[in-house]
Amino acid sequence: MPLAGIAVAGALVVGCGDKESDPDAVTVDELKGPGKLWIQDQGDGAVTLNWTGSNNEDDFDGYNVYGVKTAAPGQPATVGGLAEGNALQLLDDDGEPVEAAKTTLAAFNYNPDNGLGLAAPMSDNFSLQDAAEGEEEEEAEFEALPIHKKNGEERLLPTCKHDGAGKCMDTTAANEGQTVEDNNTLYAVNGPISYSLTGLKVGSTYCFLVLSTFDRGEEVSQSSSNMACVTPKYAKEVAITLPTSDDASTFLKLDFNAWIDACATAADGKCPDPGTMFDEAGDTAAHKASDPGPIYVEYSDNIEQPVFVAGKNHAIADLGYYESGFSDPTLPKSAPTLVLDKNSTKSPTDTAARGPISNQGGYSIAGQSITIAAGHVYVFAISKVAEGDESVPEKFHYVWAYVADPATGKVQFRIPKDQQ
Amino acid sequence: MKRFLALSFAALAVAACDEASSKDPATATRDALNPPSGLVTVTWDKKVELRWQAMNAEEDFKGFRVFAVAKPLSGLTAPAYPAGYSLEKLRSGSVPRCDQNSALFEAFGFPAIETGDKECEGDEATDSGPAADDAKELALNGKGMLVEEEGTDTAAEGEKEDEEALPPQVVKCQNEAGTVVSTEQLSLPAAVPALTEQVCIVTALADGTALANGTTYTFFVAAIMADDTFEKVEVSWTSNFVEDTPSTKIFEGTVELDAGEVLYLPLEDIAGKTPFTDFTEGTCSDAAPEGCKIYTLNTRSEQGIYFGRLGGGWYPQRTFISATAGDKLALLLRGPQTHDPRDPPKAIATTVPGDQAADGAKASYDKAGTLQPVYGNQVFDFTVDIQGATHYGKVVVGLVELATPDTDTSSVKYPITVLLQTAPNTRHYFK
Repeated sequence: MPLAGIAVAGALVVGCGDKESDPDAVTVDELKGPGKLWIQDQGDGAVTLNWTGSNNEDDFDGYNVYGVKTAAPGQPATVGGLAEGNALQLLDDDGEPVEAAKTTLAAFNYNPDNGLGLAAPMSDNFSLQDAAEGEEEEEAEFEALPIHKKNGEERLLPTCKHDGAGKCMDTTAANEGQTVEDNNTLYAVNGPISYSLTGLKVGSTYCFLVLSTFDRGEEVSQSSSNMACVTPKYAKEVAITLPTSDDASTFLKLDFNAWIDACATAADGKCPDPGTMFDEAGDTAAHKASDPGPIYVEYSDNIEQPVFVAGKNHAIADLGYYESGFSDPTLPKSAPTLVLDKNSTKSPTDTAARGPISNQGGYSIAGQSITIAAGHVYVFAISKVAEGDESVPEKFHYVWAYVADPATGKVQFRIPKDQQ
Repeated sequence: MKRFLALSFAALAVAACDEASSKDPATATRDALNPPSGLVTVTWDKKVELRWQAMNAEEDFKGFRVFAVAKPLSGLTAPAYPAGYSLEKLRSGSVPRCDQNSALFEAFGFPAIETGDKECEGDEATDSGPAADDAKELALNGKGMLVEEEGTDTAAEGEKEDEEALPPQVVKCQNEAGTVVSTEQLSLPAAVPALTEQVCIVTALADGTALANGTTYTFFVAAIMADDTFEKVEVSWTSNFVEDTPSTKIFEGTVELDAGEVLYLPLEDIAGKTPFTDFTEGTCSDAAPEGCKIYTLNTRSEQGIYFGRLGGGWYPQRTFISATAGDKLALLLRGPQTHDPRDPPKAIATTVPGDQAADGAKASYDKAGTLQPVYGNQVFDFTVDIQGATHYGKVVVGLVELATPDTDTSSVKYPITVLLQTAPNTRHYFK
């Protein structure tokens, strides 16, 4: 492709209305777009957006972060025709605006005066023309407004600027307009960078994309990062007294179903302490496949360590050791899907109906003990099948647990609002 | 609307390039030539695969050069890596070429830079061009080859002229099919709208010396830009620096296990790191699982990695992995990571991602003798003290196959790969 020709064309208007606030798209030879966006769920509506940048352009000043709350929870998601995982291309190979991208970008319309301001996506029959005709005020007509702070009535864009240490921080009145040319050390980006966001609603699904910018966020890269989505979970740290001997009176039953319900109905939108929902198991023996569970905490005298045991229709996956727990970049972004084998819920001594070695997804069979080890992350797949109901559940609450140190008994949980 | 000028070679900021030695590779500023980033390695047997992210749409962009030396990064302290550039910084970010770090670049075959280039103060530098090192009488020739002026090629003898045309420590790349490609052939299309991964498999150093298992190598990659004749070559700032140690697999195959059976890999017996052909049958005082003690702490005397399967009436298909109790050997589950994220998911690990193996303190490893259930699609780290050294490695278990489903007497098959490494704490995949 002849770069010179494109460069002469330079920045190309993407918006329909040619309003002053419409973003211009800058060709890749002038402004490189971000890549590899992924999201860490920090719990209780806080998320961290992580992407990779390679921006040393003199005029580079930061990134515009666009967010939207999807019409219905669940992933993978699609927003304005853009599927999760794909990048938004504002210009085609010839440097011409992509019409479909206008509609997609317009779905990311942020309103800072309305709570978090992440709008739900427009309906499929929405048109930019309709929007323009119905809105007269110049500022409100902005088709795609990135997340930003305000200084009085002035929008501070881009959304964020590099702090020189891997974090993208909200643009301030003091540094608005500063570029790499002003401070190479501070604003240039060569590697991973992250942006933190709070105020999302647990159980809703949000999608984000990022664009590199020039000129106070008004000129953007021709391609975005991939669109990444997240469905925030509740966060709660609980101290659990792990048994240190095979004294069954110290074994515990973790009633996740009751706790999940308590979280979902809490007035403050946060999970309460589980209290007696994490209580003594009340049994005199190690639990087995036919016990209801959902999850027991026991001590195995065979391996001389505390263990988790799943009851009937529930399962546990040990995802292994993660030095930084839920913040570890190598932690899988989603729980493995459990496909429960009906035979795995039978008694272990029922030789007529022995099941598989494990449930699909690496989940344990009910009644099997899983070692509680320091630094490990576990996923508990919790079903809602009532006792006596012999149907095999297909949907589960995937509750995540990080055991930082068994000696203290402190376990961090991430609890989803809905079954998957 | 802002208009942008075309990027032309002549307009690029070639920093402080000595006009009298225009054949020396100059360093282009980061805004003029985007440096590669995110360089990581994949450990192979006698090979190292490099992967990096690139976004290069510069008009005169020609590709990449891959530099390698047979030393760990920490071994490049003589001559010293530059003041102000900690190992951590070199591992994570780009480095310009200037007098501050001349010694570092010399180790990779760049000519030294004359003192007096003070424009490279930490990352503040935007100009960092080199000057000729008259003392070394090096000059750039042809497509960028560095030769001593007396005429002795620094590249391997007997190679084609165009293959010689590279600085001394520039290595050749292979593709997955094993075909040698020049680094310049790794060039991207003229315009790339997103970060794109580049791959280079290195099998030998620039002088033709094959990479050896157990030797640690340091690599970096730079983008290059040149006119069509390669008369003027410019290199970008570097990628981050990475090191890797090619490693051999000490076992790769399928293990078949019956109920009540114990098999192990005797790690005290790896003299010469000769790969094992099979696991060893463990002895049991009794055929019953109680006799094999499969479900209790592993206290067997033979040091090794064990797979044991329950028999009798309780969960007869269940299998455990364990290491013998003691202070020599320990295991740690790293999770369901048996396929390279770059590849589509597949059943078994011919391609296996590594991780940051936990450090030598062993504090994070399992309690000695602990049994972990084997469900398949799992990676375990292990650390073992043998033959006077601490080694690290990985045990990879692919998807488990039950010969006759739902039959407790049926044998199970485990595709297993065991890799021995020399050091922890580096992010590696391995093949």
